[in-house]
Amino acid sequence: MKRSHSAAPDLARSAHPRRSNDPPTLILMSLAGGARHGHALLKDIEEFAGVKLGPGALYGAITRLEERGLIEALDSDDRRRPYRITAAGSKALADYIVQMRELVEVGQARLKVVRSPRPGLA
Amino acid sequence: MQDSNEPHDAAGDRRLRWYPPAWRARYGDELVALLDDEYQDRLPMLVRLGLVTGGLQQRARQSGLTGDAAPASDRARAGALVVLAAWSVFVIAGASFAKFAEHFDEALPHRSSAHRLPDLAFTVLQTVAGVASFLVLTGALLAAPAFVRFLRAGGWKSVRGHFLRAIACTGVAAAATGLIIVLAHNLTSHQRNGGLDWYGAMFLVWAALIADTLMLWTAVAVATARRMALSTAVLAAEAALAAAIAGAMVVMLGATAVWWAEMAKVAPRFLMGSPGGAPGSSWDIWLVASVVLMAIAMSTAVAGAVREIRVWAQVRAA
Repeated sequence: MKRSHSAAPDLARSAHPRRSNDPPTLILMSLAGGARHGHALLKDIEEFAGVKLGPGALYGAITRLEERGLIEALDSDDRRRPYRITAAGSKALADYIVQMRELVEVGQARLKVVRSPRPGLA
Repeated sequence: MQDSNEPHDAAGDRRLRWYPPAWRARYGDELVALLDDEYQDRLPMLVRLGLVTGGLQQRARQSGLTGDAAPASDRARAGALVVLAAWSVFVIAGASFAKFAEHFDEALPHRSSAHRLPDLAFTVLQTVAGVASFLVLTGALLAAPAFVRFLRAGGWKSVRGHFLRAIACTGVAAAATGLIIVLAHNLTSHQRNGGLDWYGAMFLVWAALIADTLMLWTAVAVATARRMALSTAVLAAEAALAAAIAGAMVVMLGATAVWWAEMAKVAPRFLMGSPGGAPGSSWDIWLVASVVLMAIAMSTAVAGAVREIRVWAQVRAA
């Protein structure tokens, strides 16, 4: 299967995960549900992905995502500054989800082949 | 736990001391708020470790050592400085190897063919070391005008600590060198080469002082070069010199390997005869440690050179 690269610019590709618990992707997924500050991000990610990110990893990823324009900080009088996903971030996440969906479909199709009884063996 | 609106000096928070000041100024407050919310006053060891590695990663990114967040010129400069630092380590390891290989030709059989390859390898090693040292000096001279401008612009304050430490260590190393010369003058060759334990210990302390001095001056060079404004032409020249120095290190390590292999073949007793070597082994611990250090330094230098070459390719493509 050919991977879809056309819609994934460099900015977005760097946010694509190599593992399911890739912090930039988890942050983008969390912020796709609404603006959140660091602590709320940790809690949300733990809830929907079952992954407990460390503060160092979380802010390392926030730094990279903000530098690449995939998320942006909102004004706040509080020390807890909220972030929201940008249009570029939404596009990068959507591209990633399409790629993952294609992989899932391939995986499912191959699993069906393995599980279905083969003629002559029954 | 702190109130969310209570002013907090994130820049001075010890938990964030591994992060660079600019990063702390931007993200420090919110990270401290998160730590307060999540862990109160007791940080688990894993979280502490995560903050250390996170801080070091941000420092590496900010200086251009990793990632692509820093400007291309800073990344190229960081690559060249990695080569310089690796060169200093290589010099220390090389000096250790040279001490081990001292008088190796006296141990070679009298057949002229037995001399050929070890002699050639050692000559290549010495010649390339000389050329690489010349390249390092050339790099320093090229940066000299920028260094003068840096000092005139008041840059001294930012590197004063580095300079003072290096100068103090140089003074101590010079005094130790004088002392060891006076002592060595009154000793026999046997006493100087393992016959006297106290002299051997003094020699090791002296060698450590010299290595420390070299590393401190390298730190001066790195700290200063990171802050200086270098023109694109000078930066390109420095990058080319750094790549050549990394190449020289590859050649030197290759020559060392050839020397070692040939000595093991034609004069194995030389490799076995040193005090640190296991009987009957060509794998003397001193020699192995020196060559491993040389290999690590060379690999680091090559990584730095590759990074700067890639950055220049990006700059040209843009």
